[in-house]
Amino acid sequence: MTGDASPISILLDGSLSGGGLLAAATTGHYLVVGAALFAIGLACVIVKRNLLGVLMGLELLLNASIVNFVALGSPFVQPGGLGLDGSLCAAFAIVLAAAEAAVVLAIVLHFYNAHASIDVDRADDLKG
Amino acid sequence: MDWSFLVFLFFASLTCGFALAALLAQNVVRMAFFLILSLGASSGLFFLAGAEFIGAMQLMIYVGGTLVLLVFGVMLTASDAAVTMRSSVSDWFFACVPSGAIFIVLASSALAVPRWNERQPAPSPEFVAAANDQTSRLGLALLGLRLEPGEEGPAAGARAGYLFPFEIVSIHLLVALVGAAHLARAKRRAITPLPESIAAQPAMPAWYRYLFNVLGALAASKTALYLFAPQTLFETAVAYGAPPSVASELTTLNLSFEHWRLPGAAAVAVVALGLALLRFHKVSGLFVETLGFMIVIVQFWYWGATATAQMAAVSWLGLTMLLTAAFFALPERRQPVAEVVV
Amino acid sequence: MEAWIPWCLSLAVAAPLVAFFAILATGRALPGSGRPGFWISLGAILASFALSSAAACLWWATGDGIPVAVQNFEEPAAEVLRKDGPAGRVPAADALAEKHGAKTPRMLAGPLLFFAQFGTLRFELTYLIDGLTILFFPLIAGVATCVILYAGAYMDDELRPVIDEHATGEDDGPVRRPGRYARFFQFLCLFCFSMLGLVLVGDLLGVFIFWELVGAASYFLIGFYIEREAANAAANKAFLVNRIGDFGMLTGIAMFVGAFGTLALADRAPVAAERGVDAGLFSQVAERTSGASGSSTVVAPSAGSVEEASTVVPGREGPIWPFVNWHSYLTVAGLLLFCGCIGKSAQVPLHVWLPDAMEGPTPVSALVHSATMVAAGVYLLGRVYPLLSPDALAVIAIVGIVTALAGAAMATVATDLKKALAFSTMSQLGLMTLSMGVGGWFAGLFHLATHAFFKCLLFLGAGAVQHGTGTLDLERMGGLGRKMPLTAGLMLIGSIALSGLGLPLIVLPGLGFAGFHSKDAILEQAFVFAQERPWGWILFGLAACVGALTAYYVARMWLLMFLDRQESHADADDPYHAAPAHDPGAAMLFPIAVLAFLAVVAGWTGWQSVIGSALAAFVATLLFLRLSASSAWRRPAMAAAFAFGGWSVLSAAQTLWLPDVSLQMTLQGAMPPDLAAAETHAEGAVLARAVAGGLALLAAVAGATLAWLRFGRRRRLPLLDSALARPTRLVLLKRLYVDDFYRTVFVDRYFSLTRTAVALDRWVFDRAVDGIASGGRATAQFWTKWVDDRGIDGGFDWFGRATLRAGSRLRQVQTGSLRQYVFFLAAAAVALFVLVFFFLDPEAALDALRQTRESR
Repeated sequence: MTGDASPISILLDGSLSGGGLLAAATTGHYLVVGAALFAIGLACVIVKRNLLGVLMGLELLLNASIVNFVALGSPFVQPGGLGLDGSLCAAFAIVLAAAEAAVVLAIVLHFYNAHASIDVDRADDLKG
Repeated sequence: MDWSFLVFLFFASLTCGFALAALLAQNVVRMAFFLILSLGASSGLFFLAGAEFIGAMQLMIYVGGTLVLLVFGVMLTASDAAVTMRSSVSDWFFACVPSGAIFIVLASSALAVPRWNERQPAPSPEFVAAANDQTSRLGLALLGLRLEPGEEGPAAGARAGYLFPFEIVSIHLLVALVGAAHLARAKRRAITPLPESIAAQPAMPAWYRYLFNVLGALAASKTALYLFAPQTLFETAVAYGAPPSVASELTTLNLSFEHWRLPGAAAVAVVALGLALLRFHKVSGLFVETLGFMIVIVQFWYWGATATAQMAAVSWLGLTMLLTAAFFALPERRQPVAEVVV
Repeated sequence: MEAWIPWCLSLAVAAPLVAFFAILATGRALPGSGRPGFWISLGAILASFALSSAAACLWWATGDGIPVAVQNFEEPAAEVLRKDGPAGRVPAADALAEKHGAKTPRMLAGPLLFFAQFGTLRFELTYLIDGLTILFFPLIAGVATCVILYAGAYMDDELRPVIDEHATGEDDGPVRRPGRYARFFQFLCLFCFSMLGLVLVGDLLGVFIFWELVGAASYFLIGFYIEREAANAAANKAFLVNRIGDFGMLTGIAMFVGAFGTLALADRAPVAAERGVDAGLFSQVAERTSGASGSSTVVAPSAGSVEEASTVVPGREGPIWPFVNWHSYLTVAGLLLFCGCIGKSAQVPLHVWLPDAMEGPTPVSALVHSATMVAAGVYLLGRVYPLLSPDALAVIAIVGIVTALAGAAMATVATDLKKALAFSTMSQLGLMTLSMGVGGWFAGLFHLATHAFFKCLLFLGAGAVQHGTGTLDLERMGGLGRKMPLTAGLMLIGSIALSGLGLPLIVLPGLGFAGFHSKDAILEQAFVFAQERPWGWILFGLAACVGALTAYYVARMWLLMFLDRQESHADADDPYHAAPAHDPGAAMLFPIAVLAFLAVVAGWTGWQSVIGSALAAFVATLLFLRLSASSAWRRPAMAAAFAFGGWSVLSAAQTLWLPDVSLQMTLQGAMPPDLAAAETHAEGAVLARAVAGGLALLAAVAGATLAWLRFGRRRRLPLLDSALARPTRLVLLKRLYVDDFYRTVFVDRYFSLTRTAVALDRWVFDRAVDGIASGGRATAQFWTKWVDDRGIDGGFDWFGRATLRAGSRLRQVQTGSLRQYVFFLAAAAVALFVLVFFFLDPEAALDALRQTRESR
């Protein structure tokens, strides 16, 4: 136990077994969680007729990628992986997700003003 | 099976379970609620992976900000038909087939790479001590100095930091917000003429006009910062690990305050003139403001400080885009006052 | 500082060009019916004037003044040494110049714009700045400023849609058209640019370019009222007649280029010690005429010319071609150059365009066709003077005197005011040309400068009269002196200046308005010339006659216009008598007044200027005191008193402390060196001055008296009003039948030739072409039907239909359903993944790639 370790790591480091707790879950596990989130998000985007639901599906998709970035960038889970790049990409992705949410929400409101509804199936102006 | 894996399983199952619940929920409000829970649980995963700054960001920005925005969206468009909108069985079928396939593909590939599935040996306490200051390393990286765990200061020169992406992302954010505000503003349609007393009022409060001056003052202050504070801002930047190019530039320039004063004052004067003009004639004001910035940029360039000039150019680009966006968003002409249709 | 002079002058040239393009670009978009066009051009010409004046100040400030020995007031022009002097002319002149302190004139030369180089021949614009340039820049810009100011008010009609009574429209009524106010100033600016450029350039190429540009500007301005048949014809006539002269000029330039291999007049600075291609025409011609001897028959080189001959460029010795010696060659080349002057300066026989050119607006007549452009011919003669051989000069003198006489004679009977002035211009130009021909470089250019002032003044006055009365017919005018007192007075000043009346004094050499001094100088020159050659007396006599005729027609014009008429032929129908004439507004009168001031003072120099101005101020003060308070002349007289008084003080100051920068002195400083040297050693100067001046004044007084008796006193004179004079009058009214002669001999022949050509074209060539065309058409029809329609078009049509069908089928894929698109996206991603990882075997592909790399 070094004095300048973060509280979280102190908490997690006090393990019962000899191995570090942090090493317990492999990258593959995180990636599977990410894959599950991605699949659910995709299903959400496809199946929801509510435009806001679609937006939430998009958030799930982005979150899946953030999970992957964090896992690959973590020095504990994947040493020699992306390193700091992964964490920074995750941070940028969060920021961009915020911007994207704002813009999509604006589009939603615009759409609502135009169609008095937020049913995605009403947005078929591009029908050939 | 040990503790941490249990914790991992706990957060992972919460994340996936609430995500699934969000997928299955028919009511959009509930869906938002489940989504919040799912994202919050995923922040637990981040903490577990040692990325405590990202986890905190996830909680504060994502869960605290973005999703509140979403909930506002739900409330703004709420109607019974919209809250519960059911999908047909065929929709479910067409949704589950590709997403299931993708899940299989992604999961199998994640488990197929051996390097990703080795159990890591427990990190030494020294490594943990060195690696768990990720937040400060992130901060330095955003200022242009990138340090991996275990690396010391001089190695900073080896790899580029994130100062430039950081600037770009900040401008991007700004522009996205302005664009969102522009998109979402209420439409006015003339339906019935209003009484004379109301119609005589300007369509826009007068203080809106001052927005240009405020934005311009922002530009001027940034210019002045670049010009007048080489001994403070840039030394600070160097101390905190500014990119070597900028640092060497600024140290070799060795410009005293006297060198900066006259051209700097001229540039600020031009910018201020542009700002004053903005109230009366937007395009020419913008032009003059641009001129002031050009003076700044050319000065840096002339002194050989190319990277600094680029920085100034980027900030000019951003502010000018901001001003331009404001022009389009805020029509100065008095419009026919009419009922506001939302 | 001296280096700024070319910059100043170049900018002065460019300013009107900028204004031209500015008005051209904005054109009809100008607000206020085009009024800003006036301000733009006024600004440009004022800038030109300011820059020219700045250049002149720099010139005087940086130079060491005018060569003192050249001041020839006590020693008028003598015979020119170089014209038929002994061999070794230039060394002799140089020696003279050294001995007596005369210097070669100051000259700045340099490049302006480089075009191309062929071998050693450089096509470039160069500038050549000497006293002549320095003098003419402010002169042209100043006169142009006056004219533009005047035109700003004069052309007011063009601000509104115009109904042109003089032009016939489609329905035989007057033409209705929009006003062209801005366009007028646009072309004036083009003209100013060209004229200033002509003065600035120092090579024959540039001279030719700007020569043509002034011609083009003149064409546009004469044809300003393009709807009028007469204006149209006049513009065409001017252009075509000038073409004839310019053809000769171009040939002359080619001859000079062919002989000397350069277009530049001056040496490329600094003067090369060895005479290579860098030597300009001046030095090369000087060397040729001195080294190879002026008279080609003598081949007995003196000691000096042996030295000269040794420096001659190899390959250029001896006669230029077999049987053609240099003297004849240069004579022919010089005369061909002079052809351009004949056309531009309206000399006989190409003078026919000038009277017709009066169809243009009056400001144009004042600026282009009296003060500047037509004078360009004389200016060119002055510029290339060192290139002209004695024989060429003799021809020039004869052409000049014939023109002067013909113009003056025709002016005596002309009934149209502007045409009379045009004939007068032609006559005065003839006098200048004569002066050039008899070696009077200084006198000719002096008269050119003064003439610009008073003739411009007279034209502007004529415009004012036309503005007031609506007519230019001298026969219908009369009594305008009461109605337009200011115009009458100003035109009186111009008339006196033109007629050459003055106070002759022997010691203080005469005092008069500008024309008096310059005309005296010409006559003196002719007198000195005649002393050397017997046939010169004919020239002198005729020149004196021209002086008399000038005074006569000027007096006639003024009297017919402004004096009350005894017999009244006023009838109510005549709009001229119905509408009361009146003086124009200040905007038009002010430029005329400025020109009148200049017409008075331009001829004076030194103490003459002080005394003359003081006298004028005194007279003006007396006038002011004697005039009643209600007189229209009272305030102008006061203004004139102040102006002349101020001028007198200024002249005194300048005479006491500064170098003399008057018109005469500047010209003297610019004289070709040998002429200047020769003039300092004229013999019998006092005699020439006394005789020639006295004769000239006698002639002028006689002419004026005759006119006064005939038109003022209404006497019938025995000779002029007899039956004998009638045919002469008729011939003169018909313009000596020159126009008719040209029409019969050239124009009609040309038209019959044209008709023949048309017939030939129609019956022979058209038929042949038609036959070929119909054959081609048949072939084309065959191809159209079988190859194009059936084959190519059919193919493309089928392709188009197929595309359309495929498109409308594919269209059904676009359902517009957002969720379906997402589904397709996801499915595609999965499919790609499956394809890559299950069918393509990426490892194998990577291995193959690796092997390929290694094998390399």
